[in-house]
Amino acid sequence: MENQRLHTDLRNKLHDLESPFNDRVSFEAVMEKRERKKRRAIIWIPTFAVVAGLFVIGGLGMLWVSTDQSPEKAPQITLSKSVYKPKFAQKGTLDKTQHLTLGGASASSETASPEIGTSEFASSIARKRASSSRVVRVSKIETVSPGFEIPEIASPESTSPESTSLKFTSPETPQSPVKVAQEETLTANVAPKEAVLVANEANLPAAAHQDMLCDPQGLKLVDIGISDPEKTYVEIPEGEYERSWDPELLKSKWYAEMSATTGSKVVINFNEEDRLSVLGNMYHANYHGLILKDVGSGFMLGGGFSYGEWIGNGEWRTREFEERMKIDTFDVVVMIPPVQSVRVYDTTYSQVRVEEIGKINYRINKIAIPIAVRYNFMLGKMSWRLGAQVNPGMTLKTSGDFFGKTEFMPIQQQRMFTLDMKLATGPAISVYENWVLILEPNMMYQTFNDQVAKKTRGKTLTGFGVSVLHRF
Amino acid sequence: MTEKELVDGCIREDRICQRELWNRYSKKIMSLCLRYCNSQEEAEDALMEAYVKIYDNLAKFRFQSSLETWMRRVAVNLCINKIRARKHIWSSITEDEYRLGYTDDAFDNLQVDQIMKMVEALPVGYRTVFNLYAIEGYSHKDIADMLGIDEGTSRSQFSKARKVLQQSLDKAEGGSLAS
Repeated sequence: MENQRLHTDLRNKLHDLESPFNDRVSFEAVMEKRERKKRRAIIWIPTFAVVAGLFVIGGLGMLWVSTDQSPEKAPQITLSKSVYKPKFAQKGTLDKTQHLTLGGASASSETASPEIGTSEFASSIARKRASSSRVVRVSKIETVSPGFEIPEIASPESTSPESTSLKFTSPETPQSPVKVAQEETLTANVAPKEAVLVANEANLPAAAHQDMLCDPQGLKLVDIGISDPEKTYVEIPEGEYERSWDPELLKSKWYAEMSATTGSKVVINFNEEDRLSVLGNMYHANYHGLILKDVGSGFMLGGGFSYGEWIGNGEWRTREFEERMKIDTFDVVVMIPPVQSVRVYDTTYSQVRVEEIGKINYRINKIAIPIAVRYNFMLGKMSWRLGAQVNPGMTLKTSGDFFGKTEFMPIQQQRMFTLDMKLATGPAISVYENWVLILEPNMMYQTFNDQVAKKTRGKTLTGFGVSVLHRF
Repeated sequence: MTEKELVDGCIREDRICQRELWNRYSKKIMSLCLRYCNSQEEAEDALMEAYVKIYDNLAKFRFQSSLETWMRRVAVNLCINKIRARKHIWSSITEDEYRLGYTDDAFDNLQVDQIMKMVEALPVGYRTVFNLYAIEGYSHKDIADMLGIDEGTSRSQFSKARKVLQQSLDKAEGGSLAS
């Protein structure tokens, strides 16, 4: 009682107290501050948009570059053909750039246009060398496919006009690659010369860029046409070299995923008929780390650990009608002698709508062991990922009252079982070798099992998530 | 100018109404900010920030309370946010709640500015809870929610504040008797 009086006294004394302030504080200063704040927003929002745009464009650019490298350049093999001229060579020198065509392309050069890929190649060279009285030795050709452009690497001894670049100009007729392991030495009258075709294996690791991160389903579905839709598919060579071409064999099948997901839900009830209505917002933030295994066909399976927070706040409102009695009293003076007054009571009843408003909030912190499945697919030129996830777990800490549109109830336990389910899909952007950024709009159904009420309560929240995928 | 006209004018960005809002309530809000902040400068900054918020959010005012109450609430929230940004303001209290031996004229003999100084002299944690509970009229549950503390902490901070305030009152009374 005393305390109440103290508070009332203090309130009376301090509530309406006015305090002066310095000259620097003025209406103008406030308005200027407000303008500055608005200007800041005007500057920051476009800046943020530009940075975000650059980020996305950069990511897409890297994706394009990496996909550009992957299907087209990855199978690229450099063959170097060097023609060695003896110091005393007098005749029959190669004086034109030679174009070797794989896959049955016709000879385009007058001097040398052997077809690689068939045994005719060697004999063609032999014929040519024979006619030009030269020694041609085809030492090794490995793993060539039609459609590959083979740049020239000239040996130190070669002379520039005689350096040979191999161009495969007939991608329409894919053929099996050729391995010419034999050496042919053709001697002629003049001193021997060599034309050496060497598969430059150093370039093979370029194939390593072709991976699931760029194309989740491997080489088979990668169209060269990612950059040039007119070109045909790459054929994977058979034989022992298949191994070095097969991304499934080259790549690790294990991935790590780190993800942050947010979502929200608005609870609105404007129905005047309901005695209790709740207006509120729910938010969740979920962080998880997963180890995923590529199980083929674009699918990944995995599990890990997650931590989530699910909070809600809002306002409840009750509407009730009360019947209130109102008594009006009139004193009627009767002027007829003897003068007397009569008191008249006039009683009326009225319906009064009484509203009560209160605040409401809750918080649920939880951990879970997610089980995830991911499916990677191409949509147009873009790699996409569809993810589904189930998070069985338990709460770490709870507080407040959980609410729906027309009810709220206290969360009575600190430890409860939870089960969340998440569906997400979004573009996967290769940001660096072995690193992929996935932007995922998502839908997450969050539940907890209220053992006291013997009821499972849940809500679906929608939002946005960002995942980073790393291939080991 | 009625509250409704004032609010509507401010929403329309009418400078006259905005200035009127400033003239009408700024000193009261300043008094409020002074009770929560550590210094005059901090209170002045809080006042200006509160007014920026008020001007920006007046459209959300639903006339469910008086305009002054709403403005006070905005200012209190802002001050609370500033306080929450500072860590370790809650001193732990283990002693039992101290009963304030309040006498009828304990505050009657004091000037408002003396009471104000006493309140300002309280440590931040005590002062905040005391202001919210005793002067603004929030419940301990509301205070706990606002400040992100336990309800028990709010109660104990308030108890401690009353104790310190009582000591100040005793001193003030002793001083006035001596004089």
